[in-house]
Amino acid sequence: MACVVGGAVLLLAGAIAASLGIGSRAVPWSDVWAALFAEQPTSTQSLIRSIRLPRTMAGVVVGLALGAAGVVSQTVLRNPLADPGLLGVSAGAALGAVLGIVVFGITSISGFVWCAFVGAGLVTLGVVALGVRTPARTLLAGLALSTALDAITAFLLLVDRTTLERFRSWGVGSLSGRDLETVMQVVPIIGVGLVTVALSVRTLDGLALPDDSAMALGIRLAPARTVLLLSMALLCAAATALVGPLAFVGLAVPHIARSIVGPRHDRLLPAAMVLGVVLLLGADVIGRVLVRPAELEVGVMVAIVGAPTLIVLALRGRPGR
Amino acid sequence: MTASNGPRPVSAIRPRGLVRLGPLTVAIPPRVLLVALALGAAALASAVGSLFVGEVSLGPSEVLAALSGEGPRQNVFLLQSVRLPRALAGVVIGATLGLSGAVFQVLARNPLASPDVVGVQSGAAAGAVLVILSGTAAAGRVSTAAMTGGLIAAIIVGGVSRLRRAFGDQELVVGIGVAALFEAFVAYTLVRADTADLVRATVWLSGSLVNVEPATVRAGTVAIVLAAVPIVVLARSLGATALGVDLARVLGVRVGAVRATVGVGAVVAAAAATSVGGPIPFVALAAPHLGRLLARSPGTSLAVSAATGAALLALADLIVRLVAPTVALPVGLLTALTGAPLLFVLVLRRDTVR
Amino acid sequence: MHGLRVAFGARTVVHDVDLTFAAGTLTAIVGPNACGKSTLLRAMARILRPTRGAVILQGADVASLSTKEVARRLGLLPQAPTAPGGVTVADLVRRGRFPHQGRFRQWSEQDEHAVQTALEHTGLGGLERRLLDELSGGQRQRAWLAMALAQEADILLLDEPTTFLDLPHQHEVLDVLEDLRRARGTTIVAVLHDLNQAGAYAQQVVAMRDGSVVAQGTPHEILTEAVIADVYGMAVRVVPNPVDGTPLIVPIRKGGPRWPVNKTSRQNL
Repeated sequence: MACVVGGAVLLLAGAIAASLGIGSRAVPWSDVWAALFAEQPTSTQSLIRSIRLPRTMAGVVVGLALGAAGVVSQTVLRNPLADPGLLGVSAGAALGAVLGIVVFGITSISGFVWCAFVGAGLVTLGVVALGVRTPARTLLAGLALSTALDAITAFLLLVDRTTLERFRSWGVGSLSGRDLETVMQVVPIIGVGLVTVALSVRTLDGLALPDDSAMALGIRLAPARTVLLLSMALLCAAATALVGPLAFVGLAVPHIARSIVGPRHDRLLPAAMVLGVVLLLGADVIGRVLVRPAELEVGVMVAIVGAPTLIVLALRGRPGR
Repeated sequence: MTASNGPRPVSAIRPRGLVRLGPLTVAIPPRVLLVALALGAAALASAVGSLFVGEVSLGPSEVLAALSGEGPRQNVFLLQSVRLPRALAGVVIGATLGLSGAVFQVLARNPLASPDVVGVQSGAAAGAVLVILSGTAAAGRVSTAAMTGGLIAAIIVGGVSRLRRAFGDQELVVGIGVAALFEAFVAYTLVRADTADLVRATVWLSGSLVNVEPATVRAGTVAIVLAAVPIVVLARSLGATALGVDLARVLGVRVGAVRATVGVGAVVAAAAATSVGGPIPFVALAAPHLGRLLARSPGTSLAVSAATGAALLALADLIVRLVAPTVALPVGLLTALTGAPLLFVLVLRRDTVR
Repeated sequence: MHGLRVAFGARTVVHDVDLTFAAGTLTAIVGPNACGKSTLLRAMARILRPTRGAVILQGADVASLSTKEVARRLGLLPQAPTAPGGVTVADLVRRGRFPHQGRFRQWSEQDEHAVQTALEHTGLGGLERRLLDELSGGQRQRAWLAMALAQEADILLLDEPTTFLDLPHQHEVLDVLEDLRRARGTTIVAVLHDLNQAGAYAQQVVAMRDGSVVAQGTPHEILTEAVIADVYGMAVRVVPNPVDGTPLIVPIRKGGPRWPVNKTSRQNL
């Protein structure tokens, strides 16, 4: 156990350091370190502060959020194919972003973030208002909702080519171009979501059991599910708003984490959060290095890095049994 | 024993909806039969209706004449080379997606399963986008590339699962991974495409019957019919696997062989359907649920699901032609916009969704 | 059944078992949990492929018979079967007729008769329209038994058929099996946990431990204090049942008067 925790801390630190230190321009490590604390930074140092730092922060925040949200969605909805965007959150965020472009003519990333967040938030409230009864019903209702929203988004994009042009960089998912202020805006939202989920670790263990056993353990199913799905939606909405739809992270990371630490949520949840950050930052760094000086979007890289890992680990068997 | 042993009505024991035809006796629950027939009729009616409407509206006599090769040349061309193939494609593709969606949900025992759990649609998208962006416009090329891409993805998923002896959820996870890789490829190429190619690719990716050509429809239909044969033949055995592997085997079902054969059939059919109409979303995923909710039957019926898919897609295409005859609106958007609210209403209304 | 061995990967679960089941008899397989009873049953039903040896069914190796042929001759009631949701009792029992039906002959008079008889035998008359999910545990178990009966196989394999049932229903199920054996000459092999039931109803008892058959024979030969101590590592007293003279097993509680146990069993204690 100690070696797993140690490994996780090392991985996390390594990913953050790599994200700060490696980029299209080579910067000595001493400058990277100095950039974080210098009172009067040099031009290189301020570059790191204004570009790499927010980008790294975005990766950390979104990785934590999507890792946790993925665990919640797979456990509460009892389906290994359930990603946190399934309830319509990602689709709502995308529609919000597109409407922001079409209706308000928004061009800045920070503007997208708020439009996307409002869209995702409205959808979440809608799903919760409809009631979270059985996982199967919630799944189907969310599926219908997100399909309809996606169709509206696709329609808007098809009739308006300028919007399609602007939207596609957000639509593929990217960590770059978000300033620190924008990142900080979603931090409190993600914080609230993470705390709620962390406090529900034992409830999650119970919800993984059949309904009868969960109730016998004293879990009130409907309220527990509503709270958890609401926090999941909050996490996913904030993350999607900030970096675009990266549903694969939420889908893949819990499976990867489960194959390493097993199904107990007190281990699974932290492991998924750490791995979410590591996967996002790792993919982002590789994307910067691979086609220097150009970059590959993190949304693309996450799949290229994450999918083989997922396949290999999933097939290796299931520890923790 | 404990309960009264008097003579009881035999009807309770018989399956509902027995149909006797000489030596043949087939059991179809009446509501299932009714729903399947009604949906099939709706699909056909929509397809026939779509022959009349579009950029140019034609009267019944003109349509009939053009179909038999008479009347103005442009009418003959319009009907025989554009509208008829498109109407056929709507029904055939819809039915195929409904059928293969149902098969995958039964095989994977997962309500979220569709042919895409083995990467068929993602693979097809990657193949098609590759060809579209390389500047080839020919529908036949795009269609071939899509079919190839879809089958390659499925072969990778099947091969990896087989080699490492994956079972149950592990197979789904392999599918997720492979599909994500193909989707990443699509996303990567699209971000770098120029706007004209991007629009064409986006239309194809939304699922569209606009550019369907008679040759691709013909080839696709042949492939689909061939692939559907093993599914229809093994449908009853597939149904028996709902009792679990042990009991199904004891009841005389060769579970492994049935699952593999039906799965391959569903993959090929779905890849062929996608190669003709693009990765039309939602139909494969939703048709089994819509059909089950409409028929109020506990299990997934392949026939009802196929009829639902056909009706959904044919109706959506008819609406596209009525609402926006001049815009090349992808039918995939309409299937989502008509099917999703319906699914929503049904899910919220019924209490016994499982 | 000759030299049967079943393994999962490197782990051999059933070792070199040789057993013969005479037609029209009831054989009870007894033994502690996880001793390979269910695995043996599943291998006999051709669900698991034995790594060595063969299951001979009426003179033919089951591996050489078609799945459907085996299904018409051999039925199974698994330990914890799961039904698809929303299925009625009649629905479930009808599914037992699958091996007798064709693609174009999905229902016949024989099917009707078999289902009716199975429902009557298990006392489920009047419940056939009820959803399986609405039934009590005992009724549900009887519905599954009815499904196996509707299969009308010559050989019936049952994995703990009396679990979940109250005392009268346990005996009703065993009486159904007894009737079946007498009236139709059905060969029955059942995993039973209740040794007294095994003693009262079985003609042959097979005792298993750690994947091997420790002893086989008539109830009077097998259900002895020595064999039970050997198989379960537990001290018991065996007395003649005051009602019918079959062996009656009475456990000796720990802390109570201890019974001398032999050497082999002490190792297992």
